[in-house]
Amino acid sequence: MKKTVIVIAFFLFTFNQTALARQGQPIVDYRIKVRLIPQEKAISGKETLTWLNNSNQSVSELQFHLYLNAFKNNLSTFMKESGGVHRGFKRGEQNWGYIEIRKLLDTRGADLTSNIEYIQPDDGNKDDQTVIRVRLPKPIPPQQKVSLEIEFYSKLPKIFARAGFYKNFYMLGQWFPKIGVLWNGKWNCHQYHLNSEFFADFGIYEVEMTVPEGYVVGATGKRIREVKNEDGTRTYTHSQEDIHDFAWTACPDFVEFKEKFIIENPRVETEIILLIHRSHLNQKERYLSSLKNGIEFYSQNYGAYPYPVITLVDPPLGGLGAGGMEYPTLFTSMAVSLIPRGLRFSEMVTIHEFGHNYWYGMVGSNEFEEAWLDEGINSYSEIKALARYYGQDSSMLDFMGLKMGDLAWQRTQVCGSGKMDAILKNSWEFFSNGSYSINSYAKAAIMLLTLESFLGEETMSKIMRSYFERWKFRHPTSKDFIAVAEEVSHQDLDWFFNQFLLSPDKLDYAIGEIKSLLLKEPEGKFNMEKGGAQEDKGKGNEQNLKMFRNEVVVVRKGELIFPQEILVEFEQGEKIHETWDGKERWKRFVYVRPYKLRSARLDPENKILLDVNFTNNSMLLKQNNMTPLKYALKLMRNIQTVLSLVCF
Amino acid sequence: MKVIKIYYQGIKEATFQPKIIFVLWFINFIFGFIFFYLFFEAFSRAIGQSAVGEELLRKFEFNFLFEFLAYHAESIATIFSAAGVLILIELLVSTFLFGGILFTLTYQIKSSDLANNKKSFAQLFFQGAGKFFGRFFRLLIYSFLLWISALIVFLLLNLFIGIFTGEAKNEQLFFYSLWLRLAIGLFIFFLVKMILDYTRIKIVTEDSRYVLRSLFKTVKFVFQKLGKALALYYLLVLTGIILFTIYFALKFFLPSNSLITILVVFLVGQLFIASLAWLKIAFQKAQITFYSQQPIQYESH
Repeated sequence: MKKTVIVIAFFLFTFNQTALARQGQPIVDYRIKVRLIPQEKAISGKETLTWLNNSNQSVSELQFHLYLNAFKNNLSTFMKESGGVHRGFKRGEQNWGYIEIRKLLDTRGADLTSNIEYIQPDDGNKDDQTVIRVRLPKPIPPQQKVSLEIEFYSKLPKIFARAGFYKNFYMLGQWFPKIGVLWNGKWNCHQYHLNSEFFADFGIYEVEMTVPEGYVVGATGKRIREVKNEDGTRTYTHSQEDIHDFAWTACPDFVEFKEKFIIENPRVETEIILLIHRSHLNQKERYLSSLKNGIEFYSQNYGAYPYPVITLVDPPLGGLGAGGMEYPTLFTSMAVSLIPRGLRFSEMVTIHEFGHNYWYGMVGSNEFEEAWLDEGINSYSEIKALARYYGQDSSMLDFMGLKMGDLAWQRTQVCGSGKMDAILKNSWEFFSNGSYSINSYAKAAIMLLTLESFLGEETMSKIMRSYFERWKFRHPTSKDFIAVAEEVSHQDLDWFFNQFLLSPDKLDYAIGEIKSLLLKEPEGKFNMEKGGAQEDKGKGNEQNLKMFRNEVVVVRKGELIFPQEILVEFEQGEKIHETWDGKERWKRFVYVRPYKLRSARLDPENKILLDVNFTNNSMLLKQNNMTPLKYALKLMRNIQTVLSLVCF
Repeated sequence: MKVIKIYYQGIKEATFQPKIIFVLWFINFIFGFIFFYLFFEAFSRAIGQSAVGEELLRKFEFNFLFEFLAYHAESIATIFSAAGVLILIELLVSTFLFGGILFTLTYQIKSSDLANNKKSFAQLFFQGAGKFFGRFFRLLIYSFLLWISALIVFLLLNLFIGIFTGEAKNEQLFFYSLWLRLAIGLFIFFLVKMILDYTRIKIVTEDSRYVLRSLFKTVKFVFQKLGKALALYYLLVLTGIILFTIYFALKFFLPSNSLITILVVFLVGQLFIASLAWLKIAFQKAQITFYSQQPIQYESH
């Protein structure tokens, strides 16, 4: 077949190898040729995988993810866990998707197709076909490579969970047979669960995608070729090193915008590609500006963005099930046209999903087993980034006088949550989808912000940089994060992480009581120092000052322990700062003064964000009626208006 | 021009009904005050002794709202239960008051000057309220027929719009269709309200006991005079929108972080509620005038 090369290369494949600073040899090397078949809503492909046995033992079997089989029937683990609903998007009727391996060859010549066996390492659900095991005729010795050729066909589901199609929009994520991770001497290849995302080894991907003429294609990595074929199709080839996944998208209704983005400190030079659905063109500037903010923030705070390209994909309204997903150097955001500027949902999603290029993309923790390491750390980063660019109190909402920050939004989820799960848990073992989200995202983020308050912003900043620098292009665990935190802060932080990572309990300290009692002069009979004679006391000395016994009782209402600061204020203006290790259930502070207390506040600057009730952190001696009056009158007026209108 | 004249007359004459305005405002205030008490108690329990209250006085903070929702769910549930019951009671009270409003307003048309009549305002108002309560209550029940019919029409129109916009590639068109649906919904809602207004007017002016028949005849009347009736109605709706705009603008610029400013904002709010009562009378007065100028077909008793 004669092919005409229109553009051989937009740019030479010359990204900076030193910037990526890969650790060791690539474990995987994927070369994939894939063709989109719109009339079948399917793809067919041929994958050549070279895999390095980087362990010190021989390997006699390989394990692969076949993620798309999660959508094969209603008995798969994903469908059982989700009930066909993901993030509020429902599976349509007769909307099944699957992946078939049609041929699997060992390049040494053996046909391994018949060696494929479905396994269910997590839950034993025999109907789940999202993981396969392939027994090898000959073991692969340590530090040796094996090459496989895999022919596959994937029928795509209508999008409701990350991948699939909606009309002529295609989002291809987790679409090819993907090898698991040989980790600590055994295969780490989990089934596709509702509450889990992905874990894979770093390596090289080169993918040729053939689509009908007219489709606009976006994909992970840099485009190195674009070829017009005689059969009315086009083939786009993308390539990238030091990534652990590859996603692509195609839609004739995308409008492509490209822009070089450079920042000097630290030096970042990358190309932004925005693939925006034509119905959202009015959102272009919002997308671009928030993405630039994201690149700048993460580069300045964690390390320079090293890849030569970043692609932002904007799904159409019916394809929002694909929105808000991260893949290396490509992510999907979400927006709808006519959304007011003050509702910053698309900014939040854009910055969050871009941020996953760091926490997931480069720092490749295991999302199945320790989701907080990417979702929690990334939510922490997102809160800080949004606060910097859109204001702490208005980073999520700034509309018609109503303002709300991302921090308040995330914290409220923690306050309102139950005590079913700890943060650190296998993602499919959480009590519910909601519990997974709250713990892995919000609670973990609030935990890190609390740690930041405790250690100081500068120390926390060093921890995050060191963690990124040390663990990029590797697979860290929670222990590795804690080790970095302890090393940088020079503190033993086990007490912190053991509580907040491993316990589902809550942190709640409160002012239990404050009172100011007038001290009475001694009255009655008292022994004299000598001879046992008695003296009457009780006549008041008019010249004596009145003295008050001022008491503040602080209590620990939750199970978790955190050192506390207490600010005690007196009517006369005196302020006393106290500290308490917070270990006992309560502690009383007593002050004898010629004046009364005014108030007592725990954590006066609200630094301990994990405290689930700020309202009970302070107490006034005199009841404040002004604020209840203000808000009760306000609500009264609103109800009067409603009643007037209902009965108009 | 005739419609504008009637509108102007309605507005003007409503202004000379301070007693009715007071009655409507006062009843509304009593209901509102029950909620004030419930909210004040709930807020006092939640933040009365907390320093959070001092911060909330300066600016609203979502952290407090979420904590309030999380930790005072029972108080909120009680208030909402009370709200449901009180709205129903207010609906009945409003049905009662409608008789008084219309009887007083139409009485003034028949007898040129209230002052020349021996009946006091209270006698006249509550006589009308009592006299027509039963009929208006029946109308309230029968009005469900009208509301259900309106809902069916609305759903059919929605279905029709959906055929053209449901699968639209153009997302803006989809959103514009939502606005169109809202506009249609409001139009139908106002149309039904207008029909019910004229039915009440017909019942009072003709002292008719045949509520259902009056309802059907009014539907016919409204559709015969649809253009003018709608024009008058929407002039009055526009007046309401202007009132809302002024009120929200004032609310936006007025601070409320001291006792004085809180009270000022409260008074502005009460003036707004009173202005809604005034508008309600203007609606009725203008529509009575419009209805009275049409040839009347009396019911045969």
